[in-house]
Amino acid sequence: MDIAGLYRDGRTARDHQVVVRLLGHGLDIVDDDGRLLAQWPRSQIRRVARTKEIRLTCSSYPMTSLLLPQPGPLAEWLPRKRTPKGLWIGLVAGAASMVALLAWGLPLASTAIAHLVPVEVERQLGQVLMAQIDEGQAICSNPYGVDSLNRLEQRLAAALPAQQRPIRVAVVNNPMVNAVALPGNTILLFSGLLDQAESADEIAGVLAHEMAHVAQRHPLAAAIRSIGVASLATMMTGDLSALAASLGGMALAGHYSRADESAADEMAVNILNNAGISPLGLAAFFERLDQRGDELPEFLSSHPELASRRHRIVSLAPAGPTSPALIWPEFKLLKNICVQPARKDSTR
Amino acid sequence: MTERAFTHDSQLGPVLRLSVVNFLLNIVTLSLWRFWGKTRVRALLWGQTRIWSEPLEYVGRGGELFIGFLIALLVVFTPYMVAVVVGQLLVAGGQPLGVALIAVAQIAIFFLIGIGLYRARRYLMTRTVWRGLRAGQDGSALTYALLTLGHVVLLGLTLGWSGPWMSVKLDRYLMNNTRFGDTGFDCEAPSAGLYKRYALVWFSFIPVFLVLAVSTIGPLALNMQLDSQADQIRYVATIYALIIASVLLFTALPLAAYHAAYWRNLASHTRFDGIGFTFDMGTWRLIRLFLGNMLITVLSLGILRPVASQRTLRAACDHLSMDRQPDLERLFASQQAIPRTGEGLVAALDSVGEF
Repeated sequence: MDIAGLYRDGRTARDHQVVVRLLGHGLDIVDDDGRLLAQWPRSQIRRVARTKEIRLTCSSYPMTSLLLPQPGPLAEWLPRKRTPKGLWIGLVAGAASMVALLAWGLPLASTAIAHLVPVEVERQLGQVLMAQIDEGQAICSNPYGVDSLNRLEQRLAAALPAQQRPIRVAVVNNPMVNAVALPGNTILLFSGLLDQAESADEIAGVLAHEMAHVAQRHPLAAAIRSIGVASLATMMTGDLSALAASLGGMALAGHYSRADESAADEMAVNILNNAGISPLGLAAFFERLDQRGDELPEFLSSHPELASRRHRIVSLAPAGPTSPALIWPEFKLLKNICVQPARKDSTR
Repeated sequence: MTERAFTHDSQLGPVLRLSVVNFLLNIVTLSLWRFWGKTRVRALLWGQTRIWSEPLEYVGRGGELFIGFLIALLVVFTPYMVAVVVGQLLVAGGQPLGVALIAVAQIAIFFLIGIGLYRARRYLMTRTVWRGLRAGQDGSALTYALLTLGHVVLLGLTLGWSGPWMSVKLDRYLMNNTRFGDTGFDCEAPSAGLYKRYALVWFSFIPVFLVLAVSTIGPLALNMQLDSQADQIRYVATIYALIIASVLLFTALPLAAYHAAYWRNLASHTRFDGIGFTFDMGTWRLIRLFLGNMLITVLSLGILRPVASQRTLRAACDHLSMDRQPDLERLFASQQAIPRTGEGLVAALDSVGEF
């Protein structure tokens, strides 16, 4: 069985007129003078991708090729590629399960890892972060306001074991209505939040909520999760500088999961109860945020269901005796924590 | 001669199908498939591209790209990342040495991108086969990276006026070191003829800078309150929208006109075995191609980037022509060694599409 074709030997660009002999073991390629130019074993022959004419190559001699304008029976003889059955179903199912694994597995894994990290290591990390924040942000330092803040923090922390207490609570001068808990037991309240608060109980509620995050090591879990997300993003895009860039901002950018938030709400109510402060302040604060609408603060933005969180806090609140978180003058001093007292000896 | 030198006739269907399959496989494999996916896209597009009615063949393999990526990860990115993180920690600890460390790392990575781009082109050339012969890229990646660095430094020093001169110089270096088989290309493109159009581009950026300045400083000067996060986001979004709009309005046309002339100039001064080329893509065609590709890529979140590559290849083939067919008897395979792994650095940065 002879078939006419054009052969390229991979040494020059020109065509060689050849005759192809179809044999049991493969193909013999013979030129016009009857010289044997090449022998291709059948198992090594493949079609060159997706051209209309039949073009063949042999894996042992990848630069050689054979062009057959009229392949005749050879078309049947060639090994065929088929799309595997169920390719699409398999692909879609595989992709869906991978997405699900990441969505559910990553939070679980990050929480588990966070609890494996020694507290001392986390505190060192917190100190590095704090050093950065001290440089970049204006920490409010009105001594009377700081006194009030410390008193409030101590009242809330009294019932917590020493390891779970925050190391530092500070107010940064920033108009955003926000509060963050950083890895290493540090809590930052933004002055915009103090401006919005109408009673000390509201500030106490938010502080208790952040203290609950700290006690349950959510900030570290969130940071680990965002490292995980960044690593995945890096792997997918191949851009490693994204990871380096996100390391700095990861602690602030890490959102808590929904489960973290409701756990923190629950524990915040406990902290407030133990301190004899009404949890309704936290509920009132949520309500006002809810009414403000579009300007959700960052620490709540991933959780639109403020109303249901508020109802839950109200339902958890016991009917015991409570006293205001701070007396009125202390509350005013706390709200003015970012106002520097007039000092004549000031050199700044 | 009526026969066209370059044609591209791939259908949309197979490219779309391959794009979606690659996307799904990327998810399943946490994107490790991308090296093999890219290889398949190239094989498909190359196979439908014909030069003097003979198709190109892409003989690269996904594994080569993957190994190149791993090497770049180990040799380039790990040290870079360590340097940046250590630098940041030093800065946090109040040591100015950290800034220097980060700066050195940034300059080094920039320099390495130049090397990576050159090596990527070398890989792509050696995997492109026509009539059984490989293309190739000689020259030194180091020289090219130094030229690129010089290009950027000069751009800053001359406020952009060195642009065409250095761009042409870089492309001449690329083309003069490109060969098919053992036959080299010659490129003697000058840059003087490009300056009229380049001046239009240069001046068209003035209104853009004005818009940028006014939109940034204006609200601050008027003492607008930007207290809430929503306000700040709105402020930044407005600036971005204004910049994009003004770039489209003022600079898109001059920029496209310049680039059309640039490639026309490059093609008409390039020869292969004494045969000349012409490239006649007009300004509007270029704008359509570029905007279309941008929309396709962005709206599909990058999934349909192969479709954009297909459009580019088709447009290039439609507008590039070669004066006559080369003498096939004179074209021989090169004896040069070919690189064994591919484009790691650039693949790692993901800055090249299918080409």
